[in-house]
Amino acid sequence: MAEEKRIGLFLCNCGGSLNAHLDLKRLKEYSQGLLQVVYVEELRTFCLPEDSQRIASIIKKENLSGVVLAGCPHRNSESIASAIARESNLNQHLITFAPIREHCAWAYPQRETATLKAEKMLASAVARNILLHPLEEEELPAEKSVLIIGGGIGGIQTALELSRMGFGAIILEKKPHLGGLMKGTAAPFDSVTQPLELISSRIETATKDPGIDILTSSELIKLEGEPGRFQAHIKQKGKKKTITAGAIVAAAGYLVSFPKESYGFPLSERVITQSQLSAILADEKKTQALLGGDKGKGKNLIFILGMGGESTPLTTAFALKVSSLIKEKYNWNIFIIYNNIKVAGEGLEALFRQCRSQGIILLRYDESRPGFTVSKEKIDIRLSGLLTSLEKEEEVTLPGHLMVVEERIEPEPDFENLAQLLGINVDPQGFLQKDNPHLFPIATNKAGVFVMGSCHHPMLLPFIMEEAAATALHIAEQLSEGKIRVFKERAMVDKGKCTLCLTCIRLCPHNAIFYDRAAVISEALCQGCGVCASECPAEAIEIRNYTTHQLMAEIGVSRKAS
Amino acid sequence: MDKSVLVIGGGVAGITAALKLANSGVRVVLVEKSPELGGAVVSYCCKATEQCNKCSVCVANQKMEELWSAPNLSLFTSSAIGKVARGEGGFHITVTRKPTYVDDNKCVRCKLCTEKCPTKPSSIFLPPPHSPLQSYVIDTDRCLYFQSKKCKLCQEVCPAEAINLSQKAGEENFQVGALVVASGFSPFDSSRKKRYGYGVYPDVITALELEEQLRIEGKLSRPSDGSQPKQVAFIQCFGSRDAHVGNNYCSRVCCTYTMRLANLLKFKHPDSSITIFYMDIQTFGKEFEQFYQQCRQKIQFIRDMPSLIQQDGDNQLLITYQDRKEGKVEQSNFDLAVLSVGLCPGEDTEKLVELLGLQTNEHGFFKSLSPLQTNETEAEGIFLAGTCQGPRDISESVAHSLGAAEKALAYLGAE
Ligand SMILES: Cc1cc2nc3c(=O)[nH]c(=O)nc-3n(C[C@H](O)[C@H](O)[C@H](O)COP(=O)(O)OP(=O)(O)OC[C@H]3O[C@@H](n4cnc5c(N)ncnc54)[C@H](O)[C@@H]3O)c2cc1C
Ligand code: SF4
Ligand code: SF4
Ligand code: SF4
Repeated sequence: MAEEKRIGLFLCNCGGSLNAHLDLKRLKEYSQGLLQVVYVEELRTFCLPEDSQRIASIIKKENLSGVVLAGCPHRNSESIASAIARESNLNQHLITFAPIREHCAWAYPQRETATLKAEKMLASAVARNILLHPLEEEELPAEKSVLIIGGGIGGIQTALELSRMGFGAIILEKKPHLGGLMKGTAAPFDSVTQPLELISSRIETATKDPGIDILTSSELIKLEGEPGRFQAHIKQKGKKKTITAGAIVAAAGYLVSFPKESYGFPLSERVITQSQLSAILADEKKTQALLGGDKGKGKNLIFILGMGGESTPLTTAFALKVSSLIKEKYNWNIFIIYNNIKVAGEGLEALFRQCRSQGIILLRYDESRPGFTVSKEKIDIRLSGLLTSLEKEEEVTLPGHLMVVEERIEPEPDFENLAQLLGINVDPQGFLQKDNPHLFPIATNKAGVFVMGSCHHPMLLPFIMEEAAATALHIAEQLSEGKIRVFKERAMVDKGKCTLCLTCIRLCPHNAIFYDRAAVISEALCQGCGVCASECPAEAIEIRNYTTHQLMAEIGVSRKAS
Repeated sequence: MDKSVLVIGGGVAGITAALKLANSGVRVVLVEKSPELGGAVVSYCCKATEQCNKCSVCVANQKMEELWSAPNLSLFTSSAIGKVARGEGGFHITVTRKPTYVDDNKCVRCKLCTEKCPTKPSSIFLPPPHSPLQSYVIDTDRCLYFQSKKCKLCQEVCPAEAINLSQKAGEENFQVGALVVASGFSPFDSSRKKRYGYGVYPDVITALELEEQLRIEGKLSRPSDGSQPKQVAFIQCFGSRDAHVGNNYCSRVCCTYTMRLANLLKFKHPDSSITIFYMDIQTFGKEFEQFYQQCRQKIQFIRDMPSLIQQDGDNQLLITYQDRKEGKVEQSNFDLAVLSVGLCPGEDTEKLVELLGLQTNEHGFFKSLSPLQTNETEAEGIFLAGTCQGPRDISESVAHSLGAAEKALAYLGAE
């Protein structure tokens, strides 16, 4: 049996208002009779600073080792407890609340019933408080550097933001060069942003930045450790090395592919993807060869969207911008065929209208998808139910001489592997991290590991830039001053009882458990959710201050008191 | 320089920026013009069915809770920015606070004032739990003190000394190093489109009113007679993508909130039939395309912007639209029509723009420095957060305001 506690119990009469509902004198006497309670006092308003200061001074004077505050379930209870804890040096987790105002005083019309119920609540609260242990926070040293996986615009921008805030950044890129998808993008994104210029200037700044290390042709092969001290094992051109980092950011982009099955014909000279067109547009000669001179005279250039699943603002923006540019310079008839035009992005609706006024023909198809007949010199596109006129549904055939198809945006094939290495989830489509509104968009189920940019879902550039800043700030806050705060021994494994059945390791949603002869819980990764404790068949895991013993004591006493 | 920031607007964006800055050790002054924090989100409902549908509304509520225990933070509700002068050491700000008579930071919610008030019902009270306003208020139209200076009972009994009946509008001056503008959006004013009968027929409501009804009552009923509507129509792009009303942009959030709401209605009232009139459906963000496909299974989608809403003799709405398949004009009966209102520039935008020396963009939102620098403005030390810069959903507003906090910190650090 642990040594006796000295518990102080403070009854709040809520500015005198509870006297009408509760017999506080009786509660005071009752409390004095409870085991290990050495001090009882009635206060007026323990949520106000004067009273919390008084409580703190009594804790010191009476040398209390546990405190129960009986009153309201205050919306500020945590900050009240922490203020008292700070002033009195009593661990915050030894200060508990018994909400007798809402649960008793206001819940029962009779004073007698309310008082009886309050007695039970007080007894329970004290019984549990007796068994509580202090829960200490600890500051562990943390590496002030961040490993960023992916050297596209998102990864580079995050590195730049981190470096500006005094953190080191290591960019890991599997390709031989930085730049990602934007390297192959020639069409301007908006009135001022030229993607090729943007990406090359960012690469240049990052290369010159002494705070940023760039590792190209490199891959992550194993991740060990915990927030503040991850060890990333990487392979660079066949050579292995280990990097320590305080946090990890996945900024791994996405992949585009031509969904042939949705069109029913392959790519050819006449049928090119948006990426192919983008590459051609980056080269003046090739552009002339494809579009220039008389090539477009009386010919139809067709952009088609939404065939391989819903279109996206990314691909819609491309079709709108590029067709508007081509219309300006070359003499093609341009058609954009779409199902839902995705204009949910700044300036896209205006661009859509601009295209229309430039004479680009926008045709919308519905449930009935277009059909195609491919011949040598053209592709005939059959559209039914065209939403262009008041006429009844009719079929129209449109000859296409050059067709630009939308690609499907897909997760990279190695995302699954990457997710496994990082200990994070993937969503049903295979993008990194499941959707969960309770997680901040860049956070993952594993502490210290973040996802940003299009690897968690495809997004437009302004949003990627916003996420880069948000990610950097979030990490900077957690690793500030090279320290990370963790709870000591929040979940504890009884090594003697653990049979190494691995149940907890499989079930921990935060991937916080490892094994070494018995299950070992990382304090920096554990979120205290309690899943492991409730599932362990050997009952080898306990969550501090929610142990079976403590909870049974709480329930047991209240039963006895009835 | 003094490391302090003024945040204008206490919606999701303002709260997030304020929290982040305060937790980074910066002194924060948060000024909100309405009596309560939270902005638009406080009237939204949770859209979970058997499962969470990821509307993020609860996340906003969670942020508000965090605010209570944030350090370094001064909160000014019912307040407005009076003057802003750029000077030595940053910005000199004057904030004027309307009297609220009850200091919410002191109030312990003991109910004594309500119990002791001699008027029936009591003139000082905590609004019902679903109300966005969750601090004690005085109804000055009934309160005896304001009527005839006769009574001061509540002020006398308040144990926390939170009541001050003679409070006057106050003015306070601050000096801050940087500013974050998070003044949010205004929903489109539905009465501007006369042909849809908003404000004329009670059963034409806005999506905001629907959100509020679901939040408060948990179920749907017709404003006209309280019955449960069987046929519900949603009308998309209401006040967005509409050159006639001058809003040449897509509001981004209305397709998603409509589908979540429609899905919720179908779940709560399986016997109802729901129709969405739309031009194009916007799917973006995580896992939303799948959600849209599921919605198509149980909800009818009609591709047309109706031209007219009328009411017939049987208290039924009659919606006129064009059936593109059949190529003819159709009229259908509905019990309730919901206008999916878009996000327009916040009502104080013009005022703030002038006060702070900023500019608006072509749609009337705050103009950012460039398309990729959405937090920065042309004015040094002033940053934008959330929907005041352009349409965003909650999680995007959160990310955007973290960006603003980061930029403000960097600016303060560099000074
Ligand atoms: C009907 C509807 C449903 C929606 N549903 C969802 C949903 O389910 N999920 C989702 O993610 N998003 C949804 N949205 C979008 C969501 O409302 C916004 O993303 C979010 O509210 C933006 O937060 P904010 O802080 O930028 O703006 P706001 O919420 O508008 O907050 C701005 C705050 O600033 C204050 N303010 C304004 N001017 C001043 C001034 N001069 N001085 C001081 N204070 C000032 C205002 O009073 C307000 O409190 C919906 C929108 C609508 C219209
Ligand atoms: S309490 Fe257990 S299951 Fe939950 S995070 Fe900690 S170790 Fe994992
Ligand atoms: S409020 Fe929205 S995000 Fe939160 S649980 Fe409900 S549905 Fe999910
Ligand atoms: S989000 Fe949907 S309803 Fe809203 S303006 Fe855009 S297209 Fe219209």
